Amino acid sequence: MHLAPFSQMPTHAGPPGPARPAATPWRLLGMAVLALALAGCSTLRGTPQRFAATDEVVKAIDLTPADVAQLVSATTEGERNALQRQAIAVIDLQFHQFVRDLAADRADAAAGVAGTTLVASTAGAFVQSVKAKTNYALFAAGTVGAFGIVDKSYFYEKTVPALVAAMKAARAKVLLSMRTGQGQTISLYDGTAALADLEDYYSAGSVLVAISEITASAEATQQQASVKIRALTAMSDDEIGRWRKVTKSIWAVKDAAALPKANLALKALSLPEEASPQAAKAALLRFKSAESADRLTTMENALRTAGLLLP
Amino acid sequence: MDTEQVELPGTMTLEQQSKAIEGEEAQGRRFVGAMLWVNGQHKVSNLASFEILDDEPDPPLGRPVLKLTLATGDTAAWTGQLIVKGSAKAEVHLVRVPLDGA
Repeated sequence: MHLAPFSQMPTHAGPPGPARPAATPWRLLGMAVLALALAGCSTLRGTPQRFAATDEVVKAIDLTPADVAQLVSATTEGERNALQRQAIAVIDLQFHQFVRDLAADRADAAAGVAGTTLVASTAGAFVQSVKAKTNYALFAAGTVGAFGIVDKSYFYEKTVPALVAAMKAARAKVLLSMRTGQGQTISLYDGTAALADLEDYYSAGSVLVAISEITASAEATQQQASVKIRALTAMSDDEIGRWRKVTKSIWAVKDAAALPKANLALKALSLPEEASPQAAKAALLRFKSAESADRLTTMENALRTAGLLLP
Repeated sequence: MDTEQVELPGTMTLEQQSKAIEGEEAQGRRFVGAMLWVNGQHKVSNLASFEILDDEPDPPLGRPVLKLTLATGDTAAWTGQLIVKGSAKAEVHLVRVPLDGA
């Protein structure tokens, strides 16, 4: 078996020839360079060449700070939607670039570690000198350790896919809210609200939001698991009729005309006012579902006070 | 679709269970189904699922009635096992009858 490349590596107790104590560190440095070279290999990243450079497309869209400011004072639905769509496109492009970079960085780091460790460990196995073996082993261990720290600090171990999934989920929620808003009149969904949603959309694509999303989801699951299952009771016909009336009255909150009355009902229930009829209806439905002994009477009184209770 | 799971006590009669489901639906939910389940007191009971409705269903759901046998021409909205008054019933049907005045 011919092992020339490795067996010819210089060692302190190696074959005849002048001693070169400084050679080993240089070789090790060479291997570190090899690790970086591996890290640059695009096939390890798992993404093909992009069809157009993100930066150039963003530049071509030409969304200026003045445009964003203009959104606040938009007076028509068309103007509001056009500016918001433009901003969504820019945020989307930059988010996807961010995700690609995140995934590529993770793959590069992993490939670099694997390649360097493999070379160092293999070299260590083939050389004769005990001291050289020790050097290679130390280098291999050092490489793993160093990259391990980098991994832990920047890529949260192996959580990148989970973080990306959480970011996508958070973004989808805000996008749905924006798409719903775009179908509403400018008085119901004005430029300020549109800009606030854009900010939320941008923030939803960040690692911090992804972590909070995952934490909230885990807490909700835990809470759901520990919550006591409510037991139903057989209601009288009178109670059923009264509940039906309360529910129908809340469902009737559909348009802006019903909003003042719905807010009056919320006030009577010591709840904050809402900006849209949908939000007010949701708040009333949530309160109705809350566990409380006298919630039926409380709801009836609040809706009656607000003039919302159907006959 | 948001759903909530609640206990439909296995100690109830079929009529009481029907009224319990009707009462829950009057609060803006729709009965989806039920399954046998062991409750917090380690007794076999029923775990019912309800869909939370944000808007009034169109057409209306109708009044839910649990039956052990289906009359000719009846179509069940749900069929399954239930614990009724402490004993297991292999096949219980939930049918919907029009609400009074609907």
